[in-house]
Amino acid sequence: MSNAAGKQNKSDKILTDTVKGDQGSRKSRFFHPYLQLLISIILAAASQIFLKIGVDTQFVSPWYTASNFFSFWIWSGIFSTIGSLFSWLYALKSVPLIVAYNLAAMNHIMVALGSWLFLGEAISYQRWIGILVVALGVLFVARPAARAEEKL
Amino acid sequence: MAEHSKSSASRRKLDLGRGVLAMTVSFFTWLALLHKFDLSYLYPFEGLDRVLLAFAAWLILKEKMSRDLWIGLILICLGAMFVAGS
Repeated sequence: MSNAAGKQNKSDKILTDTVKGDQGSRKSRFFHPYLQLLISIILAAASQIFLKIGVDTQFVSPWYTASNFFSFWIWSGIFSTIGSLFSWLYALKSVPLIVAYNLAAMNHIMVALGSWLFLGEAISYQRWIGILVVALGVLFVARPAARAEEKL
Repeated sequence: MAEHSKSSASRRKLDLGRGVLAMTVSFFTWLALLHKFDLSYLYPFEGLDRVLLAFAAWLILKEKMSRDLWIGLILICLGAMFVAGS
């Protein structure tokens, strides 16, 4: 616990340095690394749901149809992906890799929950089991991946 | 090889370009797949990218596979099989 608190203090110091005082305390709460990590995971799941909505409602058959390139939902999906990438990279500055990677396994569960709640997809027991097993596998892969990248 | 004579900066630009191209292709492929399948059916297969990545690192870059990595890869494949059958 004390280790995490120390890291948080460090990141806060970096933040106040970059923000240079003006509304520093208000901003630093939003830029809390774990909040950014949560935002990143939610945005990543949301982007998949946006893309699915876009493809289902606004997509016209030949993919190069002009209107496809102005689809609101598809662009929402793209910008959510970009946003999630940025908050992910930001969070990685101070969150230990192993924690971040483990939370990335949550993506699979979040997307499943989202497609169940917002898209009304019927998810059978077998599919839930499959999704959970994949998430568990991602969790296992996260450990060696985090170790490999910490060496860099 | 012709690339030998190029400077490292232009090599890096070429690599970046290839990466962006690959991501664009994968994005459009993903949209086409989303058009056909449910999101909850399709998304677990995204976990397979780690399997491909690990095997590529193992075979091409000669990286070592750890026990955890093997367990994870097997679990991902198993989960994907479950989802495929649903």
